[in-house]
Amino acid sequence: MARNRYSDDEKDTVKISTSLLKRLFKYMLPYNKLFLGGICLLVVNVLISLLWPLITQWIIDDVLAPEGSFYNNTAVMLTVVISAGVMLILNVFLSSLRVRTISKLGHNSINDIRNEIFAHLQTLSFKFFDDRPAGKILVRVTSYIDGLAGLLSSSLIQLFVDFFTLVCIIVILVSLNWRLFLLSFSVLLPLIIFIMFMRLLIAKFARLLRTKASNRTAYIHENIMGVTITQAFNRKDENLSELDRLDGEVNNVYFKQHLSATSIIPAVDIFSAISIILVYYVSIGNIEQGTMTLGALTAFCAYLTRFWQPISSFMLIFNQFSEATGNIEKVFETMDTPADIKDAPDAYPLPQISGCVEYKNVTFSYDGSENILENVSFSVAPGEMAAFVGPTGAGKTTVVNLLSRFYDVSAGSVLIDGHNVKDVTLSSLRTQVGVMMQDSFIFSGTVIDNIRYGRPEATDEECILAAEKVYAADFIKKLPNGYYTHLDERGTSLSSGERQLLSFARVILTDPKILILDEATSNIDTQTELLVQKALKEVLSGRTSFVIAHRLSTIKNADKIMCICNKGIAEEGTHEELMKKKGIYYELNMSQYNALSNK
Amino acid sequence: MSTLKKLFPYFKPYMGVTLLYLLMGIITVLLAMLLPQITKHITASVIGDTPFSLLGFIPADKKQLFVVLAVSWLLIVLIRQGVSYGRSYMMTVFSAKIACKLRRDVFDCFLKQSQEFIRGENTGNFLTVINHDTEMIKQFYFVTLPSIIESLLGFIFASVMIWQMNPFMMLGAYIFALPLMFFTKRSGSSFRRQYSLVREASASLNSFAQENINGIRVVKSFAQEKAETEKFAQKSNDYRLHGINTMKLWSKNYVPVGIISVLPNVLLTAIGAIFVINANLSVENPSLVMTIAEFVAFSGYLAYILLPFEQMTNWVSAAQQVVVSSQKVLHFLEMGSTVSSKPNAKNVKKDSVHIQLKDASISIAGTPILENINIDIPQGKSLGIIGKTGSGKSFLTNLITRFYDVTSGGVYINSNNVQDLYLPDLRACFALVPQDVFLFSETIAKNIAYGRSNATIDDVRKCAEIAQAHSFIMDTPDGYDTIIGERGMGLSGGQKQRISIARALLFDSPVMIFDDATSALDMETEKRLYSALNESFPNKTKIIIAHRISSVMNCDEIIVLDRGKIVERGTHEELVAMKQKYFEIYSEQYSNILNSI
Repeated sequence: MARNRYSDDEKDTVKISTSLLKRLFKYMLPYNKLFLGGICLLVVNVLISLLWPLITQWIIDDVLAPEGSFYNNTAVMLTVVISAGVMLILNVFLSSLRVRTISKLGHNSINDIRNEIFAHLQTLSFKFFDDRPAGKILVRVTSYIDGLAGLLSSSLIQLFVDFFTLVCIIVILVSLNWRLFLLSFSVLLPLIIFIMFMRLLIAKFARLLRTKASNRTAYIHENIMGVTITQAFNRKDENLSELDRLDGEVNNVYFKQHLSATSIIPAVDIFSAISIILVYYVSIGNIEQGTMTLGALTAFCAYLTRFWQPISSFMLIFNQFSEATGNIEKVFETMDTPADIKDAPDAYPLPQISGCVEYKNVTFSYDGSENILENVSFSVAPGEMAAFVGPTGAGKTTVVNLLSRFYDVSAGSVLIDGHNVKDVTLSSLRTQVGVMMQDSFIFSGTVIDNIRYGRPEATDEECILAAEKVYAADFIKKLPNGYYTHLDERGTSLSSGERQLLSFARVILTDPKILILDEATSNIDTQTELLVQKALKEVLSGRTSFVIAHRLSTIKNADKIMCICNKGIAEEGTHEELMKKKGIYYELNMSQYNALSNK
Repeated sequence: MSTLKKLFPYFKPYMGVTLLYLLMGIITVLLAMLLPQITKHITASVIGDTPFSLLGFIPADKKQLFVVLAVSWLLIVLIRQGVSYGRSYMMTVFSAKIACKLRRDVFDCFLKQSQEFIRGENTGNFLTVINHDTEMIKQFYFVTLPSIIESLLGFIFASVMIWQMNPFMMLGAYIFALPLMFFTKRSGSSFRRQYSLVREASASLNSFAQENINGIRVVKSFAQEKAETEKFAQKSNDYRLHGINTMKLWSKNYVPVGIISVLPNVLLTAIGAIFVINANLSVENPSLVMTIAEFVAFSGYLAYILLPFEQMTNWVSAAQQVVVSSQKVLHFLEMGSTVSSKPNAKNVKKDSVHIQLKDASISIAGTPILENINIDIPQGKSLGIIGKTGSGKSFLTNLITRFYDVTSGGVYINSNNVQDLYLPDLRACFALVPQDVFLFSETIAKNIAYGRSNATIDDVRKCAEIAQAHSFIMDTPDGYDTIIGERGMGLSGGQKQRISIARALLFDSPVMIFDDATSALDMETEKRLYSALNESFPNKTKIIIAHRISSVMNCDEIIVLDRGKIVERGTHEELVAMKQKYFEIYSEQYSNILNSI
């Protein structure tokens, strides 16, 4: 799959259907008590509120009309009205309780969805994150799920209630006058056809809207991350007009979506008016003939108006659902993305390793078409230091990434102490293989918490010791609050050399049996590096290590130096052996020498 | 209130539209009011026998009257729905435009901020402002405000209608409004507090997720997925609890309001019925009687009178939510930038740039970073900066490019203080290759052309060639059209650096700043790069920060920084001859290499 840019629309892979709705309901199931409670309360609410038109009808027919059984009977009228009032007041309390119950249900289910998608994201391989802007992933955990709040905390339950209300009203209408009911019902047919047609349109726009909005978010997100570059390259105005363009795209779809979504309400209202007029038309004759009372007509019309209410409400929920569907789809799609790198079904924890590493005929490709590595084989004995050199982009980082199983080999196998990395559990593998990456990512939090990151149970003393081991203690002590200084996101207040030292301490603390240092000291000054080199000797003893470095001095003492070139290992041997050979490694060394001597 | 006042400029261009919106609102409400009139007439004159006459129209028979009334009923519904459909579309467009404008301004403001601010700001918070808060403001104007306006208009017209029937009944309805005012005022501040909490919890959750996604490689390499999931669950739970508490608050406030809105319904219906009974019993007092038809119409209007009461809690809560969001947005908009052009800022001539730092010092939060730096770089000369990790090397260039302002002393370009210069002009003088390479998820060509989007592909290619990037770019699947992942995912560190250098070259400015920009390149590539650069652009000023002596040894002047001070300066030969710090570093690196051979 090609990489996604902020400006590229994401493809939808999940089909919109009732199964989506079913899946959403599943998240409410664990809270069945709240769910049932909410429905019961709503039903009572609806029943009580339906009572009022009946009371009005009763007053008109039985109290105010001369032929009524309680004609001009103020006492009875007041008794009935006041008891109805009491019930309405009781209803207020029940409504209040209902709101609490249902919102609890909604928030709980959303919380579960959010936790599930986040947990699933953690299992996805680097490839998932490599392929799309972070902003597009972020919205799936945050705003898309917030968008479900309305749906889960009221609408889905409302759906039940609307259905129930509809049934109640139909029962009342039929019992009041079934002929009139059939008459008004006939108006419904063209409305249903109209709604079915609009439904498709609304769903189409809703998806498009979600896609466009996600492009905008990704753009904003990327701009936040790259604000320094934007400022340095004077791109502010251009980026603002790009935002305008993206906003324009969003609005364009938004307006269309709105036009189609809101067309339902006038349609319902117009059809409802037609049905009521028809009812009046028929009833006038009936009243003249004395087969119907005025009160019955008033009541029928009152209920008929309420008959359309759940239908409008259905449509509103449908609109809301269409809007949310785009989001739910993406959320579920992410949850359904298989973790391509995961524990095998019969994976076993990697036992305490001695650190013997073997690559057997390893071939690797990121996209399945072009191989980065072909038939790479080598082995490193426990406690040995292996180094990779070679031109930038030759695949040095790729080789070591396969060891931690950040990517899976396309062919061949990677073995640690004879265990294929694919056969053991990821966490047991990664806790024993420590990596210090090129890009030293620092989390917001204190310095000491960052050191502790890989081993949350480590004591402060252990963290400080780790920092001292790699000579990070010097700069840390100079920070305003030492080890307890708060660092911003990405550790922007530190220089990149300081960040490297810090992430070095972080790795050392986890005491891995195999240690990978990928350009770990490239931004550290020579004097500090000297110290780090000294530390390395001590730190690396007893560990198998893989070192990638451009400063050849760093790797001179390696037990095995491998030159990665042309998708494979071009040369292999110790420093002395390779220098004698006068091949690629020799050339690299000479060029460094020349760089310093030929001024 | 003051918050809303400050947002007023955003609505000003739409005042005409807003008036039209109100007018259309009045029309729909008026038309809605007419509907009970029609049912009343049908009841009285078609079903009953009251003679009908309106505006000189006297129907021939009941059938004709019914047809006329039915048609006008349908017409009213059609017009009303048409108008309100148009009106709702208008409001959609208008609220979306306001939200866009707000979002644009917040974005603009962010792009203008000083580095100091940006570093301190957590991005999750900013994302919440630009995505969530602007949306909240939109929702308020799009959903809540129309509902308030509609209900109030309905209330006013229904009052008039009831007043005509029976003034006493209307007064009765009003009495109930008074205690509601009291409740509303009291609940407002607690809603605001609650929404602030919700918003904070949401921003904190977003920040956490954001950081986790950006740092996912580290998370995985330390096998911390479980711990991260647990931390997330905790934040998510906080957010959940605040959400539930908000609804608890809502429901608590709804109880008194709900009760108060039930009372008039019950009482007025009872009183209305009594008035009809009075009429039946032939009570003379005209203010205490009502016809049955009036009672039917009255029941219809009563709903409009009660609507604002029922909605009160929603309004208060929505209004407080928008106040919280507006405050956050305004906080951003009003902040301004500490680093910005003065109103009468001077332009900079780009052809020749003479950089001078005179006793420049900067301290951040009281800690001195650089002290008394004096540097003079005429156009075309080069300056090498070498020094320990954290000695202030990057800050020095940040002062020149004015990402930070000096605390004391001054930075001068062609003898003008940089603070007096027009900022975009100043920035155009420098092509920066920063320490942390940031690339956008775009094609390689667009990344290189970031600073000059009108560049031709030949320009892009030429710069890529100088940056030693051309050959590896041609090896990628789509060459210059290959899309690279955010932050240059899929490229090696050295490849990213070379694209970043090509980008700076194409920016075509007189000064180039390399901030540890070749650390991931092998020396051979680095050497080819610098010689290609000197060949193609001999007149560019170069400021090179590096750890390798080989990167800076050819500079016209080299300074050694230590703890924010220049401790040594001179050419390579002079510094080597001095046998101090520079010499130490040099011999260290040199001996290493010599030993290797």
